[in-house]
Amino acid sequence: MGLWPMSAELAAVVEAVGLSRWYGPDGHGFRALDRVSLRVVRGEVVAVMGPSGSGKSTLLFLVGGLDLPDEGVVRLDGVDWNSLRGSDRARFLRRTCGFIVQGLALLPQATAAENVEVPLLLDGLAWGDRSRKVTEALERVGLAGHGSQLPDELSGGEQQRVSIARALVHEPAVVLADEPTGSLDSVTAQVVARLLVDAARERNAAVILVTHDPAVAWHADRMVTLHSGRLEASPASGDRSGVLA
Amino acid sequence: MTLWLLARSVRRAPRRLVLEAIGVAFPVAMLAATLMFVDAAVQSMTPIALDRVQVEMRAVAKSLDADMPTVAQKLAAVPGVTLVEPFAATNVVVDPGTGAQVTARLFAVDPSYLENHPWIHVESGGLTQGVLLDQSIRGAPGFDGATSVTLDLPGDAPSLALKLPVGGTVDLRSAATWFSIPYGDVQGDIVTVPRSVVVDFATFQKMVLPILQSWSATGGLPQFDPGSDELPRASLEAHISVDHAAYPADPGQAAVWTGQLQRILGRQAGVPIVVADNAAEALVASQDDATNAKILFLLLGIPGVLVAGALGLAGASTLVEAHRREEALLRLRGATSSQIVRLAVAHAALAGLIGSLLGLLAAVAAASVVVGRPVWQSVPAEGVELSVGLAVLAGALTTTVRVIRLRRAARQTDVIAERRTLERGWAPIWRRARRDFLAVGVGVAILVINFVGGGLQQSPIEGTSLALSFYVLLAPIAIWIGATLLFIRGVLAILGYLARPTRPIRSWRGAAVRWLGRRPARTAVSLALSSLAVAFATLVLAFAATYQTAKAVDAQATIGADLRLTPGDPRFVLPALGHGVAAVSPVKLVPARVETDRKTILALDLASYPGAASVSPRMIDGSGIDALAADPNGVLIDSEIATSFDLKPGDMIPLTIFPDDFENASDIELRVVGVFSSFPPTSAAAELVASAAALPRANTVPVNFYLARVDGTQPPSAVAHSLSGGPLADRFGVATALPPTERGLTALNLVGLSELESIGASLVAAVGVAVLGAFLILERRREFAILHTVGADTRQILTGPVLEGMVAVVGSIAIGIPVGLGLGTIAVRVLGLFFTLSPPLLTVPVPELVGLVLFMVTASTVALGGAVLAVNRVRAATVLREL
Repeated sequence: MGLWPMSAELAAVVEAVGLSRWYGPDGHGFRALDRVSLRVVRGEVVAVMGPSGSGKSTLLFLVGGLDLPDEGVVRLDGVDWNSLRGSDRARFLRRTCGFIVQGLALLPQATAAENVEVPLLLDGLAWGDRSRKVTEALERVGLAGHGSQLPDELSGGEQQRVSIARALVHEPAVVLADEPTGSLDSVTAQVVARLLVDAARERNAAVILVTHDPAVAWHADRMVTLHSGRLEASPASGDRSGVLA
Repeated sequence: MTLWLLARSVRRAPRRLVLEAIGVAFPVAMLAATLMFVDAAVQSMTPIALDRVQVEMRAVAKSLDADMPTVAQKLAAVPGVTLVEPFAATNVVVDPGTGAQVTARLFAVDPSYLENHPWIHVESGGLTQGVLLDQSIRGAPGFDGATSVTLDLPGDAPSLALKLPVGGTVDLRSAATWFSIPYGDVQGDIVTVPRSVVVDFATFQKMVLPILQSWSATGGLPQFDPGSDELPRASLEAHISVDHAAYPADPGQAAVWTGQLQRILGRQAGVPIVVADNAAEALVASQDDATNAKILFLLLGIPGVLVAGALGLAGASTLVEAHRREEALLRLRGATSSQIVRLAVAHAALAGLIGSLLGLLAAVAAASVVVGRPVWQSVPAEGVELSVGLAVLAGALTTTVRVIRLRRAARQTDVIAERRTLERGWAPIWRRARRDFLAVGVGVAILVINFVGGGLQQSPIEGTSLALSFYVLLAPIAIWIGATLLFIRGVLAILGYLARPTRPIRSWRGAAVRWLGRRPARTAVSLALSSLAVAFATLVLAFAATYQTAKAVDAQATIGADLRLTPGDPRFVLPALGHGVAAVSPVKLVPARVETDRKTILALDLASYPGAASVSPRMIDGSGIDALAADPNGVLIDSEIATSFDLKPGDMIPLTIFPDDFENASDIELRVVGVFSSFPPTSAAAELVASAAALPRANTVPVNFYLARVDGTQPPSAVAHSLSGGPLADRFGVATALPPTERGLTALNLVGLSELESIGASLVAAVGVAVLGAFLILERRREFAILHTVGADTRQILTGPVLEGMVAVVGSIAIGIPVGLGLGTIAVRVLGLFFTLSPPLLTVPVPELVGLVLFMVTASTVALGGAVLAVNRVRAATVLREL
């Protein structure tokens, strides 16, 4: 099943074709994803919704190369994940994707600035460039004065902003966010979601936003729904009525 | 219900049970192996003590009318007795038929006696052929070619006029039992009788005894006098050999048993006899040695048990997270608190049981390998039971503490636990409580107080166990813990400095160092465990090496020179030795009596001694050889005489030389010019040292042996070989080493203990690193998953764990070895009382330490490698789903 809401002329930065993923022996176990296809272009924000266990996170991890599909292909920026191994795969991931995972997923021993700095550090960027980018990223998420604080000294919302800054600091083509507001109150969730979407759009990054919160999904350009591993329906581009319903 | 839950828990997480069991097994194994080794070592002391005893018991008849063959028959029936041989002695005058009479001691034994006791050397002929003359009589004027001699009783005794053919020559220089006083306050004192003859006991019984009996009946021969400090004028004895296997293996029990046997023999004889127990003194000394050995082993073994116990507790910490999850799951399913507690206790008890069994099996295997035979054959059942009991108690204690810690940790939330591991607000309890400073302070205070109080010095009156208070043994243990933790405090301070975010991070590795500084808790635990273990292993290895060095020095002091040349016959004259020998010096042992005590004077040729001796004397007061050379009447005395007779340099000491040689005895007075603690050759066991020229008639006694120094062109062994096959062949014994005068304590197998403890400690150190690995796997999965999401490759993800492992391994070696060597120096001083001579400062066993480091690094690498592989297997997607 494939849905192609965007104009075919626009280059797809995310291209997932016929993705299947199941757990258990020989394909007889639990099928988390069943022949799902998804195409996302630069600057587009796609919300993936669905009940718990519907395969939202599985889809995200497959798109981000953290997991391997049993069937199907994922291409990011035209590169097939299957063609990458080892450190090439890791390097491609850190240069192409920005991950925001559910929960408060910061390194507890690193300060806010150091957490944001990690992808740049892994890439071997010079200190001056790193420092500038980290400062800008923290400023962009409103945490200019919090760089030297450890995660446990920040509120939940602030921690998630640090996650957003880290996901965007190296200007990835794709931002993959898995329940980024799951542990936040509704007001903070709205602020964080808006921040994420705006920041990504500024950088022309595609965003796949997994959420079960319709209010968060409302910020997306498009919404797709997963049910029992199948992609069921999607409103047209820019049509948010289905999201809000 | 609890059992059902327990079964489910074990089935769900068998590895957790195994890890918990291993945590208990380590302290159990270390303690049980040490105790079993100590028991085995102590059991070996009884045979060592008995090896030196020539005849275990002497039954001395109070009357010459006793029928000794019948008595011997009765005594032989006593369980444990293997052989009873008749023996008699008296003083005689020997005439070779030329009128050149000499006094001598007559001994009478059966011919088989000479075959049963290798310390009697029949140089030529045999007892069945006639009377055996010792070498001194052979060398006396008129006796050289004598074919028969006439024996008579001295003084106003009835005429004996027993003419016997000369049957050969006998060497009685080693027959100490025959010359020792059998009873009284001076029992065991050796009387240096100048000349001796040996006759067949049947001849004695038929020809000599009736005359002695009649002489005694008329009052001419003094009655049995147990208060005498001389050899009996005439004695009728049964020499009793006891089966060494019949003695209890424990020296203390053996000392009791031999006393019981002595009384049984006294009752069994049927005639008035005095049974002298020659084994008792050796066994009592061995009992003291056993006590000291236990102190020594426990001091060297307890730290291993402590660090193994700490490892068990640290290992439990890695399982806190798993316990917390299981408990939460059980609560969700409706389990009550009491059910959860019961399950935790049951789980811990099962782990404790399995761990204790594993530990005991490991201990039995390790101790058996080190001892060289199955430990249950080396140690009596009650000893094994006690070791097992104590080890199981240690296991139960470890298990109990683990349960308490797990219960407390389980009540904390995940976040609290994580925060505790971060630098801000976290410090290990020993740092917060300044326990490292406290421990070092206590250890140093104990040593200082003891030193100021005159401790750590062996007093000849006190035994070593009396001189060494047990609390002194706590000093090295306190310093071991305190100094190690103090060093780790320093490492943590450096890491804390590097953790400050004031400077830019230069590289990913730099980030790992910085973050380690902020979160040093787990590395600190591993570092502490491994450092303590390495320090302990180094201590044991260094102490054992120093002990071996001291024994080697002792062995060299025993012979006193490169070579000892002992004439096979005192009449032999030393020929020219040719090349290879640079200097030779004769040594005579001159008997003396100071007041009522018999002593031996080492009579030296002062001109040649310094050139021949290779070991210097250890002087406590005054001067050595130089002082003797300066004062013609000078004498050096050992520290025991100085103490017991209250003598110091400058004092005059009156003594009788040759006190038991009627012809040569003379009273002299010598000036004390020095006090020594050891004077080579120590094997001579001489309490006084003087110039031979200062002793009247010393020139009339033969040379006991010669000291020789090689010229350095060949090693002593090669020179000894060429001398034995050349100029000294068949006439002189040539030795490069002598069997040391072994007491149980000096025969201790410290190498075995050091192997046991160092391997155990290396394993503890490696497992300490593995505990770090376990922490990494169990606590950092989320962190590794996060690093996956930001695009870290395998090498980058592993940088942190590998760095932490390296800090633990390299840090523990860098801290442990210097601390261990320092402790070794202290331990050698504290345990200096166990050394025969003053020990060296410390012997650094470089090959053993290299081996320790390699073993530890290899084992740690394997342990950490397993952890790293596990880290590498962490699947980010799986972990992120759990968040």
